[in-house]
Amino acid sequence: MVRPASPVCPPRRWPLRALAVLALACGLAGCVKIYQPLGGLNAPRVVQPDAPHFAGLRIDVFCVPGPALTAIEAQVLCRRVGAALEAQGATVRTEARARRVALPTADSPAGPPADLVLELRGRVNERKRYPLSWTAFALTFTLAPGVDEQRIGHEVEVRDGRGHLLAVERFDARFVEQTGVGVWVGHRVMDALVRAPADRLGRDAYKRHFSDDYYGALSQILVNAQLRATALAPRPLPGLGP
Amino acid sequence: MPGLFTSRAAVRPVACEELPLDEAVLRHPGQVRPPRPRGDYVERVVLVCAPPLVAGRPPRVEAVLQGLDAEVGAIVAAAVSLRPELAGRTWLVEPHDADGQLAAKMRFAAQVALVARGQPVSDRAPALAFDDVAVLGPLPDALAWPGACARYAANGSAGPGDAVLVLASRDPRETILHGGVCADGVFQWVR
Repeated sequence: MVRPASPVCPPRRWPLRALAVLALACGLAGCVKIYQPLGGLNAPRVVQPDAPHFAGLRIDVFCVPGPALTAIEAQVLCRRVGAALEAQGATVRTEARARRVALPTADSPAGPPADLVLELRGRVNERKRYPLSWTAFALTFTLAPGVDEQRIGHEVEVRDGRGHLLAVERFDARFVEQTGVGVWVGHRVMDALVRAPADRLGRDAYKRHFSDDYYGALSQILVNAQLRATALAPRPLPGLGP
Repeated sequence: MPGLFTSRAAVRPVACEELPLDEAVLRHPGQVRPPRPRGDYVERVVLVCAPPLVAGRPPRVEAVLQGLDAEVGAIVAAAVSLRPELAGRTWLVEPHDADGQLAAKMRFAAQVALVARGQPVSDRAPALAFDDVAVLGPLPDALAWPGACARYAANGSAGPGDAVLVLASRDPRETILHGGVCADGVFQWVR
């Protein structure tokens, strides 16, 4: 008896198909970056950042490089903060270094002392990746998002021209980047159908939201400091003579 | 965090703070699981978020209330340290704000801060006559507060054994408070 030849099993194609679907999904997967203010940046504000609050005011801005703020980042930060303050009427000098401790005088090479001195320092700059989310990202062909996170923190000090401290504040922010076709499609649909333009989260919206909060909070701190400096203008205490 | 079904407006008033695990376990016992004795298998970071107790307040009022304890504490510290000769006097608190509820909270916070520093405090409020208010009301701050202080001494509502702590906002654009001391008819801003 001749056994019939066993049929040749077709090669299993499902691993190749799965890989193709995964590659397609990865190619289609977009990422959505969401900004969340943690401290200082979501405090209620009253000043409008486009009004000339600082007309006639001289402000020195120092952006101090350090472990959490590189020299180039400090220069970019100083340039942008200077532009924002100049748009509100201030005369701004910016330097990407720490301020000098010695009090400037009217004859000093740097010129007369500023009315307000703003010092910005980087405090935190951390990036985190969540491996479990990336495992789910791969297993679900990007339906579940892979998540990365960046945290930044700045310290803000405002002093008057004589070096007296007027205000200290901390700005903390969290940027969560979600990659995956599921979350990308979901946010695009919500942006198109549900959300108001100011509430949209797609594309570069996080940059706009962060800038609004950062420069708005800086403006509020500087207005508060300016008014505090005005209230504390030096004059002799009563009863102590000239 | 804003998400697919959570809007930015809903999340914005929530104040969040990221804490290390050890500190979160100390500050929120029972709500944060402490690390296992042999260590966790994953790194955990705790994000503590607190929604506002009352929603819908104006931004200036909300900003002042959020920093009220710190601001009033600093004002009281400045008043007590800059005017040590007033030690032993009875402190009267005069808050000044268009929002009556905010003014009441300012008064209470200042009284608590003064008591915490061992200063005697009274609920008595210095008073001005109707004519004084009519004259001082339209004046700028630089003249109104010293004028009011002089009237407190003249009409006896703030006597030689009293010192008045004034709390006020001087500009509608600011979210901080200023503090002044009125004693013996002489007024001085301290913060």
